[in-house]
Amino acid sequence: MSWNEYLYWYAQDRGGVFFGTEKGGKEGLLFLEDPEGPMVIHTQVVSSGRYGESRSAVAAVRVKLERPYTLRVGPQSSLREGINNVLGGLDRGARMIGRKTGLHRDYGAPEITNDRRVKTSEPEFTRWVLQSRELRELLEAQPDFWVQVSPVGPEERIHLVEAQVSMEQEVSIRDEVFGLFEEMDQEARRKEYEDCGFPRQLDALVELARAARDAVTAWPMPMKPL
Amino acid sequence: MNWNDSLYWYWRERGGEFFASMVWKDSGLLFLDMPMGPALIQCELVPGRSGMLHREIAITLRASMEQPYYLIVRRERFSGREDEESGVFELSVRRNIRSSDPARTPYLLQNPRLQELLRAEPGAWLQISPLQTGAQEHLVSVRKDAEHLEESVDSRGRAAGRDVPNQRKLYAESGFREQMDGLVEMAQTARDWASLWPRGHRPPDGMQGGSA
Repeated sequence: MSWNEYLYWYAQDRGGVFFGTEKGGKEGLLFLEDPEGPMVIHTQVVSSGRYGESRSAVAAVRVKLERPYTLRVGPQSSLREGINNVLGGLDRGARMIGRKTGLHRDYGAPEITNDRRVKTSEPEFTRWVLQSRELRELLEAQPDFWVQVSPVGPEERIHLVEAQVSMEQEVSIRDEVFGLFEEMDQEARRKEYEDCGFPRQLDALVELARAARDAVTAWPMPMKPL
Repeated sequence: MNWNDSLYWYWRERGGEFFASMVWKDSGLLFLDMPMGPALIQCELVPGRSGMLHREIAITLRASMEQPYYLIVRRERFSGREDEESGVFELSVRRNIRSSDPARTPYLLQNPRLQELLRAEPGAWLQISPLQTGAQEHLVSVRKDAEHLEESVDSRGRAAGRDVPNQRKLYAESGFREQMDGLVEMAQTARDWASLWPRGHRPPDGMQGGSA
């Protein structure tokens, strides 16, 4: 079973317009109508080279903000936790002698920023965004998931809000396992889909995209310093 | 201008639901509103014959048909061929055509507008296939190599960058709009014509332009 087939079954359960074929691999896409605006679930090539490609699964929605804004809350990583500890120590040391380094910011949400990399164009606004309890809980529950917000075009107020997870971890292992079951009939494939955890993972990704959308629109953007 | 930038300006002109991020170059998606369901415009990374990845522009629509049907009308064999003749036979000379129903295929391909659009885009190809084995729901897609997208520079060879007036000017000069309009119309015409096949219809005798 492939991403396309998983997504096909997901579309049967959740509705929306599915673009993909059973014989395809990872290019299947689902367009979901939502009261707050449409959502797209698809895969995205993150990197490619001579020996193949690396993809992430994406749930994307759009919001309108007051001005262009970017935010990336990366996936949890023990390496990042170590780096942040060192940067935090340097930052605290500098503060003791009355200096600001800005080497490590916690944006008022240390449980998120401790082991994730946060990059943003507006740190003050990001402090407000990361106050969303729902967003923090979902990020804590899904260490491999990450969130990205960026304008859809130059000087644009419409932004894309994406929740992502690498497909290396989430799907490729199952591809190998389910490759053994290619001769299964429709009912058996449907059952495998229900049992494999894919719908739960995708629901979590969808929920994270919605939570991020709500978090960036919960507060007005602060006045930009001149 | 990269794919996302070009598609952004196309969206500003044509409307629809646009999903793209300025962080990425090629991941932009545009859903155009159509009477029989949205058309998806995207740029896909796909493996070629050598296994190397290359980019293809893809216009995809959904179609509901009474029976599962496969069709592929490949790109023209000989580029630059000037041919005033039109018709299903001439089309099958210029392009390799494969379908699961050779009796029905000429009925679809006899549409004069579809023939005209295919002649205008010799590098594009058309594909119809069911979502699943035996399904009545189908995907109709028109595809084309996206090899020239990065070459949109002005007459002095300057790239557009993030300069909005320059981007807008380069977009207008690039022919992207005209190319997309043609590909979208081709996919829409194929979808509408295929969806409108009357139940049990068979084309007149002698119209067997395709090969199984």
